[in-house]
Amino acid sequence: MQFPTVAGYNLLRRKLDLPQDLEGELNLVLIAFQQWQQSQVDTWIPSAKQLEQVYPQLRYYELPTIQQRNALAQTFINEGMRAGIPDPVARERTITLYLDKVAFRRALALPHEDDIYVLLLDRQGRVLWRAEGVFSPEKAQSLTQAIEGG
Amino acid sequence: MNLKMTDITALGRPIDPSYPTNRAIVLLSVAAVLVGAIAQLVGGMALLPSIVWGASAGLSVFLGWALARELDPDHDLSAFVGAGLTMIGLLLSGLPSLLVLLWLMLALRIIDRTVGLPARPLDSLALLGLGGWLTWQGNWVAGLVTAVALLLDGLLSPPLRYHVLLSGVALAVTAALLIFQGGIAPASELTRPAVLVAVLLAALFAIVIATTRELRTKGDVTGEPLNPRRVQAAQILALFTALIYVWWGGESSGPDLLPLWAAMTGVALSRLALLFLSRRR
Repeated sequence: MQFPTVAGYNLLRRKLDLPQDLEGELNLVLIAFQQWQQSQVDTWIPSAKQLEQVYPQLRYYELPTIQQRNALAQTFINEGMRAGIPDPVARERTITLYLDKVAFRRALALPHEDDIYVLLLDRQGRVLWRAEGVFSPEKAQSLTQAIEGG
Repeated sequence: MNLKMTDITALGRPIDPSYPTNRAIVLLSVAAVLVGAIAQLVGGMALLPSIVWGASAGLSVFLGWALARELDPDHDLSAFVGAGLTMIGLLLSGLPSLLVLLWLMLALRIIDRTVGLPARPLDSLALLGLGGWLTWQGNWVAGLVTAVALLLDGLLSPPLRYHVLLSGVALAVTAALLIFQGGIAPASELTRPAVLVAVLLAALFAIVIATTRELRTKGDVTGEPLNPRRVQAAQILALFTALIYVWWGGESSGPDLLPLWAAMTGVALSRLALLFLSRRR
């Protein structure tokens, strides 16, 4: 399965085309659909940071995914999110996507928006591994195996 | 029915072009828009994002001026030093967080009442709405400062009593969101030079707070002199916001609040210059 070609802005206000602008040989993307899911995303961050240290070819990104809006609404939402995340590294790695969420979910076979999804992508954007919901040691072990196999 | 702007909002301050200083800041802001947009275009940015960047730069310069006008209403010079420092800062650190600065401007105007009138219900809603939105996004400082601003306005003479109640609501919502979102975490990386600069600028601005007494400036609508206690309260809130941002936001807090830091520095330098000149006479 292939990650669709989409464009977004990170919270440093830089435009990025995904998946080509993802920097890692392997990229772990944490996809959230609702603001409250940030707490689910946060459960993955310590492990993602640790994995980055062990596997230098890996980068992780947070992808808040929002239904298409006009430019003014996008700016308002992005600036609000930026105001809530002062860490420059987190800002760089948070890429807001405004798109047709149904089409995006269909392209990645993500059945619903009730949980976050965690995908491991290779350089070309192929999905090598996936998980749904909060972090667990079992998911981390499975992810580590996928990284070592990728 | 003849509806005036002050019936809806007590925070709007139209730019009267008959004042040369107002014309000057408009020209300066427009210059920042043009230079900013052209610089981004030349640097390879697309047309529309370049225009947005330029417009944001112009608004930042204007905010550096406008914030200084709130913090030191008697002296035009402070505001232009603030605007100038904002321009320099834009070259060094990029665009600030305009949404946060607009919210802070609302909070300061509600406290110092430069228009001369107490906040209208729509003003209170705007402050709560924008502060609430920022808090919901994880910026708990906005929730806390909104609560403090409303409390000050509800206590200082002449008080707008229902703001005490709204302050309690803002504080309760902020606390609830903090529990839900995971609490307060200070900045992980804060260098000693950044702390020293923040402390130095804060100390300079503390002189302004201490020396703000009688004010000549009159409320835009009422023609009554501004209440120095309220202006001092706004100064203290601005300083509190800047410092708490440094603690929470670390290195990014300087660029994010650039026009605020520039305004406070501009006001402090102008006040020191005035104090120095008055001693020499």
